[in-house]
Amino acid sequence: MTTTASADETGAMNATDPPRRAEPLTFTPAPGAAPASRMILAQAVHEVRLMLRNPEQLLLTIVIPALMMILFSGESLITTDGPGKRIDFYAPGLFGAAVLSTAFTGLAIGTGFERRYGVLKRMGATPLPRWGLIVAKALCVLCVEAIQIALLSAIALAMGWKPHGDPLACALLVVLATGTFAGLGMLMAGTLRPSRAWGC
Amino acid sequence: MTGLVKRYGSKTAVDGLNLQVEAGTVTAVLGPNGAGKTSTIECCEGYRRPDGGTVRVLGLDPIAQGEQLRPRIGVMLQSGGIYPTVRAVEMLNHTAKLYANPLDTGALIERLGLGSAGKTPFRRLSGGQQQRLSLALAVVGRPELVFLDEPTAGLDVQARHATWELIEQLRRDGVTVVLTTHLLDEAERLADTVAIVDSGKVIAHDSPAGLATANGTRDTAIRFTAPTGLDLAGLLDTLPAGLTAVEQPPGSYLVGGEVTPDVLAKVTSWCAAKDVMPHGLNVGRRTLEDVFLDLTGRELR
Repeated sequence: MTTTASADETGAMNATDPPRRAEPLTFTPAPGAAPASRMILAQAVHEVRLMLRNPEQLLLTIVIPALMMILFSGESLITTDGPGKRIDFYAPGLFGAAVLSTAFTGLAIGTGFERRYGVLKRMGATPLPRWGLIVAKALCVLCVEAIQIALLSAIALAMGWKPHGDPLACALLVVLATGTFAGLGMLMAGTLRPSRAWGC
Repeated sequence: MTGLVKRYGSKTAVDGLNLQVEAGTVTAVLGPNGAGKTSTIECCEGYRRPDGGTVRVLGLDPIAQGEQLRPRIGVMLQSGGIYPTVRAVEMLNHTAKLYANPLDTGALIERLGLGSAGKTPFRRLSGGQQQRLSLALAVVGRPELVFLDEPTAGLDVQARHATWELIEQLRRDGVTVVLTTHLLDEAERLADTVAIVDSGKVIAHDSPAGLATANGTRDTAIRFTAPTGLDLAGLLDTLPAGLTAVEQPPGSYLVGGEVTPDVLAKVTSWCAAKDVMPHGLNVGRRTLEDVFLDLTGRELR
């Protein structure tokens, strides 16, 4: 980045300049791992991108909770006891379900598939250490949850949800639940046989 | 690597294997399927814990010092390891970010002819493109040492040559390459040294030429084509004892035995005396294939 910036500053770049030739590719060794923070961030971004591209995962983490929010709160499919509107009853519960779907189901499915496709084996040959992969997965789950909660809150607020309670306490609960469910999800993904074993 | 042993249950895949690889060379580990090639490589990569013996890669223990070792090596798995929905360029760019001084991914993609595959999800790439992406992932971090497990399996002729050229450039640029293969021509063309592995042991370890001329064996056949019905008994009379001459099929002649320059001269002057032109005259060398057959007593494939 810094080298191109200095070239730009000279002002010599203009439309008549011939395009700079890429240097011929050499494989002269220059090994080394990127700093851990860069590796983990890159891995987390990569995982979020893949999770959001996967239709099953999107259905599970975004579409189903959103539909439940709209349908259950809009129609009196189930009667609720106690004071308040239906949305005030369902919204917090569906936040919980959303956290569960990402941290437990989504992570377990995703990691199970990674095992099946040998992705984890490949990752094992890169400089990203094992703990780095786990931190990256945690960041990925938290990031997807933030998207879910933003979306679900918007729907719920639009339907007249009046949030109450301590936001910090709620955030703490989300993080604790994520840790618990993610741990269980990884345990399942790690110990159960990948689905390939069923068919072949 | 000394006395490497790897067992799976009661089956011993690698049985006291010894192998040393010089820096900056290409070493081919050659052997039939199930000979223990992949098990050996995976012990070097730190995937498998040896049941016996010592493995040191760049002076490091692949298990205990894996974290120091992994940034310095590149690994191409035999298959898979890539999420089916990930795009080729995306996967390469991501892997590049894990290294301190990665190659320019654009140039690498161009070099491997993957430009058209850039945005295609991995599962829709052709087998050859998948292999080439896998190779790109192994070299993108500028490793000192790369392990390539059957790098040209399933490639067509053109893609195989492109891969060979890349491996040759890796060596020119000072990268040490260890590859496994069951293709003799691949080992013969690329490798500085060939380690022939069978039943979990190295049964021969030398340069391809060294292996082919091992045990003092010389060239073993002269082949040529000429009009049918030559008087081979007359030819044999002029040659030293111990040589054979056959016409099989008609018009194709084979002189077998220890072929010396003198034998060759005698065959051609005999032809000249009969005013016969020996077309396609060829002095046969032992190929790696013959060596392999001699050593293992069976065909490679």
